[in-house]
Amino acid sequence: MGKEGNAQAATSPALAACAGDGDVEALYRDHRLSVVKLAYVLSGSWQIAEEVTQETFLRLLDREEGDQIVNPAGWVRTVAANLARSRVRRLSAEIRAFARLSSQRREPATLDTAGVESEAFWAQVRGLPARQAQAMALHYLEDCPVAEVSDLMGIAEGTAKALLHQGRRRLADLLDLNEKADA
Amino acid sequence: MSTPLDELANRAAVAIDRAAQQRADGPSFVELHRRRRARQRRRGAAGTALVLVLVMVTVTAVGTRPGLDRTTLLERPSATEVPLPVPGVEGAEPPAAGAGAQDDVLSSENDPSATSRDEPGDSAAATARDAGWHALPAAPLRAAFGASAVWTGDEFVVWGGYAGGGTADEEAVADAAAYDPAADRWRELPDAPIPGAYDGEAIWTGDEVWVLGRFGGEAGREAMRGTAAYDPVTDQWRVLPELPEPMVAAAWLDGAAAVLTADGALWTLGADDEAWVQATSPTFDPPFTATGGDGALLVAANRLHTLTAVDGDSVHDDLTEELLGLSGTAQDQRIGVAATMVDDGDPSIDTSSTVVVGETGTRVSTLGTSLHWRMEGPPTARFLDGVHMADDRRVVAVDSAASGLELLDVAAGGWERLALPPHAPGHSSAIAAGGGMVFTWGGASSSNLPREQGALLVLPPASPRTWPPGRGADVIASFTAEPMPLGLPDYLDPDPGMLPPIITPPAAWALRGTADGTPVLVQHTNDPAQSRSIPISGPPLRALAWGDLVWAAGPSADGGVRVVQASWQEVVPHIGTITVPFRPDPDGALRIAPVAGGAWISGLLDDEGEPLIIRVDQATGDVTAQTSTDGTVFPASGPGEALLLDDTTLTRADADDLTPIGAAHPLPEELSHPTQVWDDRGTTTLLGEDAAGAVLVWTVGDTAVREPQLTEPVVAADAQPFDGAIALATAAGQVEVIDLADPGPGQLVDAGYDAAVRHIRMHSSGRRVDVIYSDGHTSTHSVRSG
Repeated sequence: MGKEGNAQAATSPALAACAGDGDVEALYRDHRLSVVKLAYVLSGSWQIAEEVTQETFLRLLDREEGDQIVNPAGWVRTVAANLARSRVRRLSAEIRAFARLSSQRREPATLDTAGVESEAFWAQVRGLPARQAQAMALHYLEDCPVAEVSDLMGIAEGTAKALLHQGRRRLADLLDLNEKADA
Repeated sequence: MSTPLDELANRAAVAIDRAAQQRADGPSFVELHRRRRARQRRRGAAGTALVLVLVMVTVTAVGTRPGLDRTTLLERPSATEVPLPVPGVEGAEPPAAGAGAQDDVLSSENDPSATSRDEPGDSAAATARDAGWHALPAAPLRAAFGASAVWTGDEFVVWGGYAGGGTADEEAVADAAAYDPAADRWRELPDAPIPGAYDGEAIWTGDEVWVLGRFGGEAGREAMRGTAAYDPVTDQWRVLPELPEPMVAAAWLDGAAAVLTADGALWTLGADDEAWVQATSPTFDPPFTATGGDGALLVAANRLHTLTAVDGDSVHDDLTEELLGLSGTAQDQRIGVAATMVDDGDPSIDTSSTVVVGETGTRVSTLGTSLHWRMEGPPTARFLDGVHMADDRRVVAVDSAASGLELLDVAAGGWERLALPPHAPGHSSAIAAGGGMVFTWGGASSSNLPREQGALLVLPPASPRTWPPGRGADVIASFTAEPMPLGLPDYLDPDPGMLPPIITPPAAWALRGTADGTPVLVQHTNDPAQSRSIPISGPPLRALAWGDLVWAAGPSADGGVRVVQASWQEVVPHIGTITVPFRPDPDGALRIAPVAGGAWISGLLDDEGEPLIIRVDQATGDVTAQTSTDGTVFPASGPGEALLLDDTTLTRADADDLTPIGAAHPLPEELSHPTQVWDDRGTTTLLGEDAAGAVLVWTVGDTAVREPQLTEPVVAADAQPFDGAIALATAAGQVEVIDLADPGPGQLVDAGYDAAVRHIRMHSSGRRVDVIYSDGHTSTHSVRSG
């Protein structure tokens, strides 16, 4: 269940071990947008998502000399997910302030039908238990199969499957959708 | 095959992707590097000077306090080792309970060392007005939300805020005004000589009000760094050095402002300093708040979610609750009171508690026994924005709308709900407390328009609490003169058949038997004088549970069933007993499931000998519903819901009449004897046995049933289904914690204590368990870490 020590072997270039700043640059280029999206889905705030993404990669750069990360793609997603949740929990006052300001301006009016539907969906995802939410976000945002979710989260494949299964069931209930358990 | 959920999720993912692509690109990697280097420079050598300053401060502070020693302060004291710090009386014993003794000792009016500026003002201002809420006169300020306020000992000073919201003139303002509660009058102050800001901080140094901006600028979205000081004697402002980074929390700490910045660093600025100085350590995630006081105390939530006290050059982080809010230290008491999360759990769930921390962060066990140093927090804590010292012994927990207020008397313990202010609730009000008063001004309405109303709550004088007369069908008119002895061993005395105690902070309840067999309901509180034992006539009681009330049930002398209810809120003690015309099923377990307005009693037989469950009304004692079934009712987490469990199904049902409101979940075949149910936010976990008596765990919706590794009989269990964990314990202290989302084996913990386990309690996060033993010892274990 360790968050950092993913024992599973890297399966793609994106999951290769990350040692130097050059690797981080490539990782940043390739994964920044995915991390932003994940952080947004888990926080509900683009501002937080962008802050969290920067902080995540800064922490990656700040790691100790020689401190290799086996699965950097999973590492940045896990750190971003943790930071996003932490920010939401702790900076509720700021979130309220920004939400308030946002609500006075244009953002709600710019949401089209798809945006409203999307917001409603991700709001329900955010209401799931933390690991379920993270697994669901990875699964749907990045189209990750179960094996890749388990890789990125550093958990056993069976655990990832259970999280996705529970998350899907819960979401189907919450959204009043007719969801077949094994579909 | 694509399901409707998949289709919706895919559309939602596309929408997020499109929105992300449309947003401005993030910083380049080069820019990211530049920010990294800047951060490293800031965390560099500049802090060395501060360490020296803090060392000097610490040496001075510790050296001048008789009886205070760093070594002893670092140890977690017991209740008897560290009495409640009494103003001006070093090493004094805790005040005697009852009568005026507490007030006499704790009142600042009797404090010979009372010299700080706010004390005379405290009593004068508070007593000039009647207790209760008073609407403020119109303030010379634009209506705003996000203003900051602070009590100076004479006035509440308000500064900043976001005014004109929803109009073309909306902006962060630098307006300032002061309200004198004794004269019920505002005076306008000069504008602060820094750009307007909101959601900032105002701190009182003893001579000046320091204001620190947070957000402002264009559309109120920019981080602000301006700071300024206002001297109420000269009625003038002076500009202070700009903060190097945006502020997230600030406190006055031993002659300097200590500020936590958004990048997690700690900076200080003394009254005469020309620049902010950064500490080398620690670094923090942005915390909720911080405070300082007479001692060297600064507390914040760091990145490990711990409550951390910084004492000079030392950092103590042995407190592991997550910080929600924090009050300042007061006068010579040198304590901080923090409303915290018990665990790193979901903040929307009320799992808050309160700890009292000493000046190095060690817990001061003044709130009772080793069990009761942690008290359940106020119901409003789920929206809690802060806790404030209302005077030298009372703490007010309040949200930013003042729409929920609770008062904690630190000396006596126990939260008390306060009346709400006269104006409609909103959010983001300026709130301050001091002098026995709570001040609120401005804020935003539910439609986010800034408000200009303000109100002042004058607290009644602190007085010793007394028990009001009891009431109910079987009234206990007076309480035992002799308090029950303190300590867990008392109510964990291993009476045969004794039920696990229930903890209803700030009290614990237990059923005990006496030598002659009389059952006794024991309420054990933080204050020994308030603890009580209530004899219940008749045979021993066999069920105990709590919801809004404490419920107990057992057979009556005439073969029926007695249902006993008692209020666990200490201010409204009462106990009533009714007898229902049914008898307990000799083969079944008598159980109580408190629900809204009453309780379901399971395990009964009717006149025909058929199994029966009944619902008893909380107010009248009437039986309002009954159903012929051998099922058992368990409380459910949803409002108005209960769970009906029989040998084959679990059904979510209406709490009033058990009408099904959800699908009946068939139990797995192997779970032939379900015995316990935990329901948390719709996630339900069952504990039971198979036909051979092996313990099994099942979560509704799971395809698999879990079998623990424990080989000895399980004597205690507790679960947090929503957070995905159940803990089981054997009498010998073997604990297994099963991650309900992980099909792997559970985590085995050897509690390592030589006494029989009586009870186990899992914290709300599912990451800590308390193991309670028959001799009263309690051990807490961190589980599922990482």
